[in-house]
Amino acid sequence: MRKFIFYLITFVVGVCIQVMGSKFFVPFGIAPNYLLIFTIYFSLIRGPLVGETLGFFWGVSADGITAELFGAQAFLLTCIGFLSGRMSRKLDESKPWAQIIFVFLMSVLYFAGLFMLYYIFAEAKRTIGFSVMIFHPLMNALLAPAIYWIIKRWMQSWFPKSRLRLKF
Amino acid sequence: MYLDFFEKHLHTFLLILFLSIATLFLTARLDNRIQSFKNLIFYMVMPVPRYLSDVIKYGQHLGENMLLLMKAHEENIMLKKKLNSSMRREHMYFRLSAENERLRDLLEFKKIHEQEVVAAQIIGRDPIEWFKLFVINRGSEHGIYQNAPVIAVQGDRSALIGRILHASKQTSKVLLLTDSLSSVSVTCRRSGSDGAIEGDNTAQLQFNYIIPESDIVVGDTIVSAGVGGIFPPGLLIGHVKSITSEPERYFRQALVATAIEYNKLREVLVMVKK
Repeated sequence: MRKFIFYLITFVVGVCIQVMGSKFFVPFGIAPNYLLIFTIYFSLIRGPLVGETLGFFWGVSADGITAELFGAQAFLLTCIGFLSGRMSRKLDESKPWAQIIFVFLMSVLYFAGLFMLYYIFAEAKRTIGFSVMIFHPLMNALLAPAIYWIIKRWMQSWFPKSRLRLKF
Repeated sequence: MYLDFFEKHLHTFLLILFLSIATLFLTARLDNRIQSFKNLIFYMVMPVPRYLSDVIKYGQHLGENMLLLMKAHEENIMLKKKLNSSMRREHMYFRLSAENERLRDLLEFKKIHEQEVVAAQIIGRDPIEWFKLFVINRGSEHGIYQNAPVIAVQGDRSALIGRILHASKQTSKVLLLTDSLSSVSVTCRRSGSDGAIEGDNTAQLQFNYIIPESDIVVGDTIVSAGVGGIFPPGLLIGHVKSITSEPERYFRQALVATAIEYNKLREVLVMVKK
């Protein structure tokens, strides 16, 4: 039950941070994709099951509150959750550089996937520029260590005696 | 065995399920049911971030609002000071305006009567002797002498109010008709019946020595008779308010209301010799 409440609150807080962050924190005109960063972290820590589940629900929420292609975020965050989850225990996510590089690569993959989905499903084709493909992932990657540190504290406050890597 | 297999590949099944749902959303996103579902998500998800963002916005403007509040407070204090100053000025304006009007009346009297007069301001009036005497700012240096008649003007009315009791160089004391020591020979303008006006230290005058046969009614105008050489004849004094006759007394008595309100006196005219 405690785990369920934890994930529910994490889910709501994640959505809030995404909505408010894109309003109040847009450095250099680039809004970081917090839900993507959260999904990657939870996937790395908890594995693909948690990662893809959180990714899917966060994606559906993000789809619901934007006017973008409905289902695209859900699709991509589920995939990112699964792929990151597969990397669980194969990557030392506690190292900041590892976090930065991994988030950067996953962000690039995310934008490539978004471009593809738009190409396949959208009537009006959306072009994703080179700058978006570089700077947005870079912004996500640079923020990753700070965000991961906060999530780590957040999880420790809920489960102080458990090891973070404990399978749920 | 099946359960173990299912548990082992749960994440794969879930992945397939989630991707299928997402693909369904993508392919049928224009469908009404999917649109309704999207709207439902919007209404479920949006309120919390929206209220939180309102709180943050409020917090962001808190400092600004405090600053504005302080500025408004300072402005309020300044405006209050201005208001006080304006009120004082307004009061002064009304006072000067009234004074101007009274002085105009005095000037008008001088023009009409072609009488040499000295305008004077009342500078002292003792509450204990309110209806007895007051002090004016003109004296013998200005041609004022003892027993000179004193007139007051209010609007279009001018009336005798007393005489100079004592004139020093710069100031003079005016004995009012309402003083109990005052006595002026008067006459009724309509019937010509004579008598004497005496004060009783109140706002009203006593019209005494009215013979029983005299024709005097309420409302009659009483003017100075000019007997005695102090007051010129025909100066307005007041109007008869009531008449009383007592069987044991020979003379009748009348109460006269002064033509001028003695409470509103500010400036007076003193009649002097040419």
